[in-house]
Amino acid sequence: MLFLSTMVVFLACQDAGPFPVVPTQAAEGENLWRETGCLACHERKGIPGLEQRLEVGALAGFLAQDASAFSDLPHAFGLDAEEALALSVWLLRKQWLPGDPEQLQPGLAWECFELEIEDEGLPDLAGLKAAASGWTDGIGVDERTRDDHFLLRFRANLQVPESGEWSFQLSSDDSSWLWLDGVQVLVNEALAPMHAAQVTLPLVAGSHALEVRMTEAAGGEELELQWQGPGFSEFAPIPAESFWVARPVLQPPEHPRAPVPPSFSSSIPSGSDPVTNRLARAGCLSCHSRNSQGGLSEIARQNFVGVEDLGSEGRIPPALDQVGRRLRPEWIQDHLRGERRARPYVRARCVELTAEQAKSWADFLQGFDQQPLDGGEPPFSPAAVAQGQTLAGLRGKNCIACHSVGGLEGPGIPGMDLALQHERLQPTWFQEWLATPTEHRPGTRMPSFWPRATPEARAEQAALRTWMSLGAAMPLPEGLVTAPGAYVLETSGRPRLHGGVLVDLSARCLAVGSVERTHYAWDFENLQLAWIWRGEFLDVEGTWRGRNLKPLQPLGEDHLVLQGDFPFQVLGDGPDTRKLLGWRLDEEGWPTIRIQVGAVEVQDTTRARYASDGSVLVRTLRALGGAVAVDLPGAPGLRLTPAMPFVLQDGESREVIYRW
Amino acid sequence: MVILLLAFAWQESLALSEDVYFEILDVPVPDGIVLEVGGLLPLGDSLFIATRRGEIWKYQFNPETEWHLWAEGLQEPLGLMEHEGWIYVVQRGELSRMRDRDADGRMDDLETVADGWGMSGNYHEYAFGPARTSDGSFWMTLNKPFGEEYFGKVPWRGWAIRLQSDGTWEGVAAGLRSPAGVGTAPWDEVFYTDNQGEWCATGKFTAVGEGSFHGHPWGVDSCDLPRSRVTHPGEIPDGGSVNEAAATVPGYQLPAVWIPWDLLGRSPSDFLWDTQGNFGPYRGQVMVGDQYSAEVFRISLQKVAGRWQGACYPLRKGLKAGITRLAWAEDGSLWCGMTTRGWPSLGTATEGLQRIRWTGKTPFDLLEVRSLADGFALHFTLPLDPASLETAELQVRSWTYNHWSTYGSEPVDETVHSIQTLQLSAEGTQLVLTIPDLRPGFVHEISAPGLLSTSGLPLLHDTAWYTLLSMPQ
Repeated sequence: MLFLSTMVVFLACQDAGPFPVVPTQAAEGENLWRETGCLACHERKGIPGLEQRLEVGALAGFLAQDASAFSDLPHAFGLDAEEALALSVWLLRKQWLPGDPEQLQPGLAWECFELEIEDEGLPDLAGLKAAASGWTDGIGVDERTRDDHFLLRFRANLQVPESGEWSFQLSSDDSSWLWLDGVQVLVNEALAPMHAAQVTLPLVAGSHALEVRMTEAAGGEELELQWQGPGFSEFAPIPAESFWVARPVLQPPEHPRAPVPPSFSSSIPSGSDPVTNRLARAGCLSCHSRNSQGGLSEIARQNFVGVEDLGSEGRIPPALDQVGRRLRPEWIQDHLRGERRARPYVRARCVELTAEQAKSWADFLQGFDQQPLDGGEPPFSPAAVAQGQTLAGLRGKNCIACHSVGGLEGPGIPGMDLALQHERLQPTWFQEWLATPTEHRPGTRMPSFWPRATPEARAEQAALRTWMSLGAAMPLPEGLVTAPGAYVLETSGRPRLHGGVLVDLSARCLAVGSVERTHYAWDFENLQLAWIWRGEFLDVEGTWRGRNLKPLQPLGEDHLVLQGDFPFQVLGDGPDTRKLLGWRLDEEGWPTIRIQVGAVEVQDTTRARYASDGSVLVRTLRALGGAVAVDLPGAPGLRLTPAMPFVLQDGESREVIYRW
Repeated sequence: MVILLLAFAWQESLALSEDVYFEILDVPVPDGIVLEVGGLLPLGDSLFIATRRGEIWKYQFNPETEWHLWAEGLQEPLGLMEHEGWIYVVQRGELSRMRDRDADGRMDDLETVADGWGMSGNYHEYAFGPARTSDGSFWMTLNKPFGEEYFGKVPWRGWAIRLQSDGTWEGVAAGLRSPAGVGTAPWDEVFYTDNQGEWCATGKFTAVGEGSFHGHPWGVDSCDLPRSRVTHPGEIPDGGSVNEAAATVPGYQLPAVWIPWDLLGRSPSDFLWDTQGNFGPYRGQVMVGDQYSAEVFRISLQKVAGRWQGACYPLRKGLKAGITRLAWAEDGSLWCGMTTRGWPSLGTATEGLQRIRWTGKTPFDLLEVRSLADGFALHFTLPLDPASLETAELQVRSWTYNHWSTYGSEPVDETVHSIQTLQLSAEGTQLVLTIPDLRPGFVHEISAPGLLSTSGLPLLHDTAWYTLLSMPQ
C-alpha cells in the first residue's frame, strides 16, 4: 500500500514512463466512478479521449488534491491517494499493456493465503485462492492480511550482479522456504520465534527465478531474506532494485498534458431564491435538489448505491430545502470541510472545502434560510435523560429499530446515528421533524409517532432532545447490539476496570469505563490521570488476544490526553518522593487511587456524572498527613472547575469538575 | 495370565494405564468465563483463580458450585499467595496484596507492595511468583522480552528478585529466560523452572542461587545497578557446550535438572513438592506442569558436593491443555490451571481447570534414580522380578548441550555407556548399575524397558533423565 502511494508521488515528479499497475485497481476504480458520485456530471463509460491527453500520475495527483487547489468548481471529493490512483487507472484503461517478460518492472509479486497453520510443515497450495495479492518492493510480513494463520508467497526474478558463490540467509517466525530457479534451496521450519537457515550456491550473473514462502501459526511474525556474495562479506538485505517482475503497465501518451477541471454550465433558470442560484452555480444541484430544482439525472440515480433498506434516503444525497434552518452552522461547516458526515451509508462523496469556503457557505445558508426560533433547548434534567433513553429503546418508540446510537447498531437497518443529532440539528426543527416527518421530507421512511400535538407529545419530544444532548455519553437504550467486537468491553452496571498498555502512555495503566459512557485511564508508571473520553470504552484485543501485547487506543470520541508535570507538591519542607500505594473501590466500584507524596497520602477518586449538554467527570481529591499544592494538567477544549492551582489542606476533600 | 494380558493391553495404551493410577477430573466453567489460568489459591471451600485477562474468580465448590468475579483490572496476574489475611498477587508491574474489607465478596482494597522493575510494554515481560521464604522475603522471576519494546529497553528482565514487605527488593540471580515457575522447597530454598530458547538449550529446573548467572545475556547490564547481588559475568561466549560456559563464565550456574526437550515435555511451568504423599509412592518429589505437553512430570533431587542435581520422570499425560499453574487441593488432588494463549499445546482445549487425583493404587514405576560414586541406583515402587533382568534392555547414554544464541539445542557429544554390573537388592526394589565412565556435567538417560514386577507388570514409565553435575564420593 505504502509502495503505491509512494509511486504516485514519485511519478508525479518524474518524466512519465510505463506505469506498473495492479489488475484489481481498475475494478476498484470503476466502482468508485459509479458509486461516489462522478456520474452526476460525467458519462457512465468515463471521459472520452482522456487516455490521449493524460498520464496516470498526473491524473491521480489532480484527483487527490484538496479544495485549496480549486478556485471554481472543486474536485476535492476526499479521495485518498489509493482511491485517486484506482480511479485514474480505470479512466485511462485504454493505455493498458499486459505484463511483458521482456519488459520487467521493479518489485516482487506477493500473495497472502489465509490458512489454518497447525504445524511447521509446508502447506499444499494446490487449488487455493489467495486472500489478497499485489506487488511490493521487499520481502517481509507487511503484506499479511491477518496476524495469525496465513501463508505469504513472494515471486520475482532476482538479478544477481556477479557470478560467484552467493549465500542466502532466510529468517522467520514461524516457518519459511526459498526456491531458486525452481529448486527448493532452503527449508527453515519451526513453530518458534525468529530463527534462520543458510545456504551457499554457485550462481551465474543474471536473472534467477526466486520464490519465498512463509507460514505463521500464532503469535509474532517476522520474515527476512539476506544475502552475501562476491565483494561483501557480511549478510545484508537484498536491495529492492534486485527484484524484477513482469507487471501490466499503463503506457502514457507521447505528449501528456496537465489535467484541468471541466467547464460547467448550470441549467437552473435564474430567478429562484438566492440560495438555489448559488448552489446551482457551484454544481451542488448536480446531486442535491432544492425546492424541486436540480437533482440527479436518471442514469446517475440508477447507479448511486447505499444501504438498500433505507430506500432512496440510503443512497441519494439529500434535498437541501431549508438546509440553513435545519442544521446548525457549525455542523454545516464541519460537513463541508469533510470532517463529519451524518450519512456514512450514502456512498456518493460530497466535496470537501477549505475552512474559509465552508464558513462562507454556512453563514450564507443560515442568513437566508433561518427564521426566528421560537423554542431553543428544553431544560436539562436527569429525569428527562432517563425518559429519552426509555423512549428510544425497545419498549418505547423503538427508535433503535432504524437508528444506530454512538456507533452501535440496533437490530434493524442502520439509519442515522442518534448521538450526532443534537450537535447537528437546530432544536426547533428537530421538534417539528419529530411531530410531522413527512411534511418536512416527503417520501421519508421516518414514521410519525405523535399524530396529535398534545402536551405529552411535546414532553416526549423534549425528553428525546435532552437525552441526545449528552452526545457520546448518552446512556444506551435497550435493544442495541452492544458487543460489536469480541474484545470490546461493555460498560453496564459497575465501572469496568482494565489493566493494560495504553498507546503513548506507559505499559502500566488502568482504564476505567462507566455506564455513563464517560471513561478515563490512569497511567501508573507516571502516576497521572492521563486520558478522558466518551462513547464506546475500549477494545482490549491488544491485551487479550494471542501473544502480541499491543498498546490500546481508546474507542469512542471526545478523547483528550492530559499531559503535564506531576500534579501534587508537598507544601513546606520534607521529601517529595512519590509512589503508588494502590487503589480501593467504593461501594459503586469507583477506584480511589492512593499516592504517597513525601509524607502525604493523596486519595484521588474520579466518577462520571451526567450534566446539561454532555457529561462530566468529578475528581475528588483528599490529602492525609499534610497539605499539598494541586495543579492538575489540562488540555485544549477542557475546562477544570475550580481553576488550577489550589492548595489542598490536610484532611480536606475537594471536587474538581472536568468539562469538555 | 489375566495380569499378563492386561499388562499387554496397557503397554498398547500408555495414557490409559496412567489413568488407572491417576484420574483426571474436569472442572466445568460457566459460559462467558475465559479461564486462562495465571494463579491458583485454594482457601477453604473455594479456589481463587487469577486469569491472564486480569480477573480473579472465586470458584466455590462446596456445598454448592458457584463462580464469583472477585476482582478485575489487574495486569496479567501470574501468581497468587495467601499471607496474613491478604491475598498476594504478582502483576506485570507490581507485587500487590488484596483484601475484601466489607466482606461483600469482591476485592475492594489493593495495596502496591513493590514495583519498579521496568516494563517496556513487550508481551513477554511476564512476572512470575511470588514464592516466600521463612525470613519474610518474597521471590519473583521476570521474563525477558522478545519482539517490540514500545517504551524502550528496561532493566531487570531475565532476573530473579527478592522482595521485602517494605517494598525494597534486590536482584539475586541473572541470566534467566522465561522462568515460568518459581517456588520454595520444604527446606526454604527457592527454585525456578526455565523454558528452552536462545541461550537456554532445553527446559531447566534449578535453585535460584544468590549471585548466580544462568546463561542468558539479555539482562546482564543490570548487574551494574545498585540493587544487584550478581557480579557482571563479562563476555558470554556464543557457542561451545554448557559445561565449557560453566567453566569459563564467572558465577555461571548449571541447572539442577535439564529437562530434555520433547523427551519430557517442552515448556516447564509451575511446580510443587509432594510433602504429604498425596501422590502415594512419589512423596518427597517435585511435581512439574508443562505448558506444551499438557502433562505433569516429576523431579527427584540429590545434593552432591554442595549442589542440587537430580532426575526427571514422566507421571501423567493427557490433560486437556498446556498447564501453567498447580495447587494442592485439601483432599490431596492436584489442581491444574491451564492456558495456551500465545503458544502451541497438546490437548483439546485452550484454557481451563482440571484435577489429577491419585487413585490409591501403586503403579510399578521407576521411582527414583540416584547417583553413586561408580554408577546409578534405580529405585522401584514395587519389587521387580529378577528373571526380567535377563531379557530387559537396560541402556544408559549421556549428552550435553550447546550454550549459544540459537533457539534451543539438540543433544551434542552423545555417548552410550556400558553397564558393567547389575545388582538387585534383597527386597527387589533397588537395582545398582555399575558404570565406570559416567560424565559429570552431562545428562544421563537411563532406560529399562522390559523390566517386570514380581506380579508381571511392566514399568509404567521406563526412562529417567539424570543431570549428573558431580559424582558422589
